[in-house]
Amino acid sequence: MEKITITSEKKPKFRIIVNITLGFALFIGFWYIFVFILQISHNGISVVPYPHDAFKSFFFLFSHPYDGVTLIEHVGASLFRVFVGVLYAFIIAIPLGIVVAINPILDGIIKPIIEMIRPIPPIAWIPFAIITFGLSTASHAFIIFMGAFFPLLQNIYDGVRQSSKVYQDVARSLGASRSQIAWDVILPSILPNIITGLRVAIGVGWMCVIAAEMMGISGAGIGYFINYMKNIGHYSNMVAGMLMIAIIGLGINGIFVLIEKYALNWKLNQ
Amino acid sequence: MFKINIKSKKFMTPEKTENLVLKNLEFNVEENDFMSIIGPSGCGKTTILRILAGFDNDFEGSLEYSPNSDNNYEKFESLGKIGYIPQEFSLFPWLNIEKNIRFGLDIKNIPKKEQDDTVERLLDLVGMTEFRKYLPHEISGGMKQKIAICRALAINPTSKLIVMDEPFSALDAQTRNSLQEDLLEIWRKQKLTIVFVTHNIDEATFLSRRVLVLTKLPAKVLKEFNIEISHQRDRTSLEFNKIRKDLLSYLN
Repeated sequence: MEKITITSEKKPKFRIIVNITLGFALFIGFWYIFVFILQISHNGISVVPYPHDAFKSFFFLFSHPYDGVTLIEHVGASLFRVFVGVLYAFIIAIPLGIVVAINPILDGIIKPIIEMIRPIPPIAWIPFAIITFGLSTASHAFIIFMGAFFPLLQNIYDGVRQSSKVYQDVARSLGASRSQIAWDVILPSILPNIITGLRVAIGVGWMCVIAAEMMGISGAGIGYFINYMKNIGHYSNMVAGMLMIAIIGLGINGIFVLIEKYALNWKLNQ
Repeated sequence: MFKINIKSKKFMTPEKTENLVLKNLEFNVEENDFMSIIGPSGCGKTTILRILAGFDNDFEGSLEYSPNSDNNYEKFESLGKIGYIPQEFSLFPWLNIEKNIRFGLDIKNIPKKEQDDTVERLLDLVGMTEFRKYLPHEISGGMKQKIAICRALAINPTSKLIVMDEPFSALDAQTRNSLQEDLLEIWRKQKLTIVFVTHNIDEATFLSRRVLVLTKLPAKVLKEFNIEISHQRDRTSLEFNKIRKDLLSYLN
């Protein structure tokens, strides 16, 4: 009798590791080729560092401060600004998104204002922030707020609008008041939208803080560091700063993947 | 006993014209009744149920209740006082089975001990004690509807009235038949009063003590059937099929 073997469809862990390593190796390979070509076309001189130089600087900067400030401290300064800006956006966008989505009158009044301000890129607010708040944390927070607020608001608004009326009807039939429906039904049902909005908001906020720091709003932060290294011609340090941004981005993304996996288990399996 | 009197219920169409949906619709719901409402598609069955459930107060007429069935009627506010089971699966997907049942008790601030007892009793009633920690997506469609019934029962509705809007329409035929039997058992054990909207004549015949057949728009009661046969109903019996045939003739 012929023996039938059934194999699992599940991707083994080592396969995932192999794929990631392969992708990373390809990226590094292209980086080497790119710098090499650049070197040939510039008569043997390349301003862009090779990967090994950039990684060397990266690890060196971890434990050795540059001008008295370590790379980690620069990252900390930037992250703190993102945190403050996104926090304000979060605190304002959640109630506003819910109220505007529920109340047609407020929707009619507030939505046009939002639609008018939304297309202005956050970077375009930098001069406005400088003349209004000066060169301060408030300036950064404001620019990040402008970047983070709208994706968060839009996600919450859409979430409430799409939130199933059946759940609200059932809650009403069970005796829930309006505030109980908002708190116990609408809010949990839009949690996936809040998480998605937050993910986009932090991404935009992170981009905004780098841009604001590069434009010289402050004397610290990862954007400032990259720009400063470019100005003094220390390109391997500059690329090390960029690597740091990539790692932070990966870390933030990882946190959201975990949140979705554990806190939004019900949504993923719906 | 409940007395429902809807003189008129209008709907505004997207073209801003008024459409009369219900006209002079009057019926009573007795305690421990199992009443089905059937009628042509779009005749306003769900509208009646939404009025009964208290979601729609924009109608001319009254919804009254006589606590002692002594013809002393008082105005009845349904919200929070009757159970409602919609057509769609309606368990809150972010709460597990136990927390879904607790929902109505939580918002009414019922003491924890009392909540525990109610949850235990209801889970036991539908034989789903071991599923208490499951999320709704982890159980079958039939189980979801059983838990929805438990959740509605948990708030201890007035006269144990539950209104159900085609609750089994999303299920396959086999599950539907089995759930109909389960529902009858729960109805018997708990002495419930059920108003059941369906478009399925077989279902109405199998479940009901009374069937209201509605007319086309504007809907009113065309015929009220009393089904006298006992609740051990055989879908293949001559008696059963005669009732089906009668109902069908009115619908057509």
